[in-house]
Amino acid sequence: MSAAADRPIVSVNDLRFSYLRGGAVVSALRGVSLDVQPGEAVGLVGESGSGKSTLARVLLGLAHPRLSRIEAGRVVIDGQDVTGFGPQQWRTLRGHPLAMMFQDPLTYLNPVMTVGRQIAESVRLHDGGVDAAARVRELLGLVRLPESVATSYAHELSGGMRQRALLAIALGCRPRLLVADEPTTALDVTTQAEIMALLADLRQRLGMAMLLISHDLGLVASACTRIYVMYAGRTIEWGSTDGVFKVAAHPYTAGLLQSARVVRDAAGRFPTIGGDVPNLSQPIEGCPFRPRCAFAFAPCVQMPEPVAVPGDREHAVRCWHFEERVRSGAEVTRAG
Amino acid sequence: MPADAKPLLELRNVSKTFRSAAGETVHAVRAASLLVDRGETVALVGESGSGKSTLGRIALGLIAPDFGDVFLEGRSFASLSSREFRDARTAMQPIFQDATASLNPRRTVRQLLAQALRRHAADVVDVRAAAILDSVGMRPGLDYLDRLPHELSGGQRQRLAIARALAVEPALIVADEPLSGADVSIRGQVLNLLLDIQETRGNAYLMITHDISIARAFADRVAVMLRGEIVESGPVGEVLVRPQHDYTRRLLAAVPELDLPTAANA
Repeated sequence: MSAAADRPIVSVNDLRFSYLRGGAVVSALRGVSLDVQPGEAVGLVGESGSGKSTLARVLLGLAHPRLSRIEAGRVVIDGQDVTGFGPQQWRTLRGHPLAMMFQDPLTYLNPVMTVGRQIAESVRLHDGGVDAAARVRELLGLVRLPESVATSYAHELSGGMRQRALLAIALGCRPRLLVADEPTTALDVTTQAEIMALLADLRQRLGMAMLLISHDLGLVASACTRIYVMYAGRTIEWGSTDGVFKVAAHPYTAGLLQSARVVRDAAGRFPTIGGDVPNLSQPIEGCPFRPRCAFAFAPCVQMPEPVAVPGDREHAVRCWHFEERVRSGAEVTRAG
Repeated sequence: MPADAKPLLELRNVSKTFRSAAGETVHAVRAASLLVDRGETVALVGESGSGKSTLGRIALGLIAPDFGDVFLEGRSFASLSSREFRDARTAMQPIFQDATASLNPRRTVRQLLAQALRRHAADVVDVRAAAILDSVGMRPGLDYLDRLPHELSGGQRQRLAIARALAVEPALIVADEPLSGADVSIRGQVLNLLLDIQETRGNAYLMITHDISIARAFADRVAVMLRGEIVESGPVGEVLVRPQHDYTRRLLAAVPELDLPTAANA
């Protein structure tokens, strides 16, 4: 691999992206910045409508060329600026440094083609000359599927096996970064644990980085060393998983962590975040979390620049309330 | 609790077999027994294909078991006249996983609730419907009556589905994965709503879920299903703290733990 080992595989800088849906312009990404370094496991956490899956599609060049548009910002993949790429240019790049794994493998597996042929197709796309059959066997072994699966069709496999088959196709392109969008959400918990263990093992053996996109904080915490939290199309807090979990500088992050635990409080009630996520086809002024935030005050009508969390160079947050707490010298624990 | 000690719902040794498209026999439920008392919450936990949803449908009287019997307040479904069976089914209301799919998209909130309120006089339907919407947190309820499902948010549609189940004042609500698909921040709202409803109305819940952490926090008792059989059941504090069955242990071990600082230092 010729690429420099020390530059990010993916670097996204203040990305703004919109698409057309039923005549309305949806501003799905409103300021996303994110880096993934070679070999690291990064989590991207958010609820539905946060833009996390849209970001994945943009990174893979899967956004519709006519119905969507990058409005501002930059996407750099392995040192190459891909911001203005058209479908032709993406084709040469796709599968090379990046590959993707989706929530619902059945949608992405061809129902009338054997699994083996689909893996072989992916192999040929990347390594033209190799003995595809041997590589297919090797890939099936890597994802711990029996060789007999090569002649199976998607409908003959269980959910967990389909996800492994999809992973084998992704690995066929020898990606340096696997973008996994809710890869285990549709699976049972015991199968989920198997797939996550497999991903951890493969990452180590292949030196592959992973961007794990999930609404499940527990899952991300167990698999990733760094996380980004997204809300309404923006990255609002990022840092080491430990740092973000310990400090939870943004009130939304703090609320998400509380809600994720499914533990009742002293009054016997479950923690919640009041209100609803904003409608992304409407303009949002200032901090998008403001209408739901218990700490909103006058400055929140403008979106703040990132504020560093004291004592942690990697950890930053976009929140006026936190900025004020830091400035007033309050002890920085959790949003509150 | 009334003087007669009959459980609200009892499934006694029920079995159900389906034939798959390929002609194979699928034993969806095998000799399963389950009790739900008045006002209590029972979680039925299992993975996909374990038969938990089939058992839920048998409890609701939507599917008849091949063997075994279902008793509502001590009376066997099999012994009921068709009119009595209809009443029995009304006493138990379902809430399904996908609220959007269970709501007819062309009916207004008023029409959707009016179906459930048809026993009431026409002139009080609006008042009753608005009161029920109020009670599920859609306030003021009157403002929602003319809306269509797509004009509501996902959380509001789930509340509407709950409102519709409540409209007939059921003694038991069978909730089949009511939270899967709901966002983390919405999940707490729905669970709190279910708790509030139980506090004021004293209804029982049979909560069907794959999520053992929800079962642990929400239910009084839990039954664990594996391949059509209930392999372990009892109070949550026993089954999920000292699991006896290997499968329950595996389920517990597979849940990623979220080790967080306590709220105390917030």
